[in-house]
Amino acid sequence: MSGRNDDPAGIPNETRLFRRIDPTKIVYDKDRKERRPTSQNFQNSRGETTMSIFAENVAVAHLETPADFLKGRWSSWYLVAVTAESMRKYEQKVYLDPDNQDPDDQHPSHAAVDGSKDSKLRPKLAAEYEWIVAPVNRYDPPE
Amino acid sequence: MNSGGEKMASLALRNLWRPRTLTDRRNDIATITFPASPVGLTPNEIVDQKPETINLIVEFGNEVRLVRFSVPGMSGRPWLSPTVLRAGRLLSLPYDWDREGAPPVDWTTIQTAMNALSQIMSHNSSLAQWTPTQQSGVQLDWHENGVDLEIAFEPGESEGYAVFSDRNQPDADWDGPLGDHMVALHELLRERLAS
Repeated sequence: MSGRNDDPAGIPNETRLFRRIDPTKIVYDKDRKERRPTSQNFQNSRGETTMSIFAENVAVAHLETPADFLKGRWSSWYLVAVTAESMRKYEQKVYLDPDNQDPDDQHPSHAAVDGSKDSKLRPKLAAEYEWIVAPVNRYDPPE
Repeated sequence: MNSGGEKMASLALRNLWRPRTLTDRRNDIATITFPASPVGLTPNEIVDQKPETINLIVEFGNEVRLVRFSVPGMSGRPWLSPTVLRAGRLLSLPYDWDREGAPPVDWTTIQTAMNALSQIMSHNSSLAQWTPTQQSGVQLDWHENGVDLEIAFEPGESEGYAVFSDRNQPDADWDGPLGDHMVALHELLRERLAS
């Protein structure tokens, strides 16, 4: 654990959290009738206890748009949203984390979802997704 | 007397006649027992256990690679060829495919997954969807008929790890090493994750 505290004041429960989705980690869900991110998209970064996200309330305050999170090396990736509440209900801490970013990929809204995410929990986190920037073949079944 | 009786019994057991063949014709009893298969299949359901190979040509950047999978019997398994094609696509992922320095997908995890599928799939099972894991292993997903099932195979692990949930029965969820759930998986893939 990072030792940081949950921050419901800075990131209230109703806040949407944007998460980049790897285009190689998308599958078709016959029940939802659309492609969806796999649970592997909801892992902590290697060697860390946190998963990077962007808090919509801070993004709006800084005039950031979803497209801003998908520039450069992320241009082929997609974006989903989950709410802060949906992460907290699984014992995850949510707080702003603007200092923990790559130099070439800086966003004021950068935040962290902090906590253990084991094989059993990841599918539950993934099931909370809402597409923000979806693949063009979103509704196409697999070949 | 007691100790002598015990000695006699002991000798009798030691000299107990045991059949050398599976059928004891002299006593007109059959001693044939079918060895339990890992998935609890009856012998009639095991189509073929003789390994065969599938060759797959994968373009990997400027390279073209020949990948050879060993699979235990192809006849009666319509899911096998499309599954190999899906799996093979993962082998074309280059270094740093996740933008975080991931190495290419470990082909041994694909072989482990194919071995597992050969034990749990039925002829009418829905195909798994293959994606890479953070550790460059593979994950198989099924999402249909109210079932969410995923099985991850990671490098260095001898078996996969399955997570099952039923959207209509949240209390029925389970997860664990594949070996602990083979019967349940075979039943799922024969009945609910099937066409």
